[in-house]
Amino acid sequence: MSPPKVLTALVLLTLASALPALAHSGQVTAGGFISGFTHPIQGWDHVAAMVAVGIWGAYLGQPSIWTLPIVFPTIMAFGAALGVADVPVPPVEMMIALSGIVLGLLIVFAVRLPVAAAAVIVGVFAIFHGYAHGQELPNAVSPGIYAVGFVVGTGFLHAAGIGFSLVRGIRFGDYIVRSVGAVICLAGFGFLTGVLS
Amino acid sequence: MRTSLMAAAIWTGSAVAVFADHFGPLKQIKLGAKLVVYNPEILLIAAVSGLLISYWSRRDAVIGFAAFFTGVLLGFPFDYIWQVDVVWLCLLLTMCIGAMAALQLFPPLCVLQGCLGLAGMCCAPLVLLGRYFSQTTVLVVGNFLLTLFLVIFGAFVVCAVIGRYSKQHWWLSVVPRVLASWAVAASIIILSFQLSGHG
Repeated sequence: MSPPKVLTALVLLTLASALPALAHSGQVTAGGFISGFTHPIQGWDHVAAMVAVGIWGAYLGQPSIWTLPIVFPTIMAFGAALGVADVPVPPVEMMIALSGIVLGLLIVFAVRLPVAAAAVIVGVFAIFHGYAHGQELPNAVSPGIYAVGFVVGTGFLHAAGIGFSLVRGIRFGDYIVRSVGAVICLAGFGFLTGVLS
Repeated sequence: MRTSLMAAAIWTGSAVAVFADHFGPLKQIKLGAKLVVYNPEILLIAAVSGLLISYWSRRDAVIGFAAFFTGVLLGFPFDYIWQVDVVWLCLLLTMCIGAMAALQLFPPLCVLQGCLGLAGMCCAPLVLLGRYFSQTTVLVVGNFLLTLFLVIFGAFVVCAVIGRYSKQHWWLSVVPRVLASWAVAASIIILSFQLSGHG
């Protein structure tokens, strides 16, 4: 892989891991865009699944590399709508943890599925991630801005996953990416069993 | 087109000037910008409108801008007269325009320009209802229009530049589609929030 691509991947990773330096963290941002943006980033169960979606999309290549980051936030929005309306759904936290396990395994084994099948898998899990966000929405100071923030935050996590996949271009890069898939899978087990929270 | 714009401007001018001045000029200008920036519904519809316009030729793009702002100007007096809450229509339009851009399925141009006019018409009542109603002045409205224009023009320029360079980097061509889908997602959430009775 050429140096600019490695540099791009590193910059994306750094951006994804950085916390904003807020000069004025007053009430304007509380429950607003920043809260929404950081909500998926601060929850490791969300981070693992959303980065995994980006990595798996990059593995599948075109058109999944861009359809999955479209499908996930869109279906997630419907999940959030269910959360806002308090519609009862199966155990949300368990399904979110399961999403980490399944997506991690798909990366580890580099499973190649048709784009429709991949979209269905990602879409099902997106409902539960959205539900978790949606339940916190009514408590936000500015729910609209909060919603925009968490959609953008989710998108950035997908982009971080796609950016990280550029590592596959270097020597042993494929092993590195699959190892990250294994870490995501293990983290999913951790969330499922309650070892991680 | 010119006659309709002029008629809309006169109509708006006659409606806007009657409100009292509660703030100093600088605060009024800041309030005008805040009305756009702090209203996610307006930000989203402005962004997807700019994104949509970026797909058109220069002439059609100018007509698109004119349609949107004619809609905005027509929307102000409608708000003063009827005070209709059109947030749901604004969000539905954002979803429709965003979905069209994400799927790259566009109806005829005249329909899209009509959509932009309607989108503009929805923006005006959104900002003037509620707590800002009594503070509305010409300066507030003027800077509201300027900020709205900057948001649409910014989205238009970014997407047009992306479109130009997408021949060299294929992945750039999907960026507007992904952004449009994010706008759709955010609109769905906000609309569900409004309909759930929390809003």
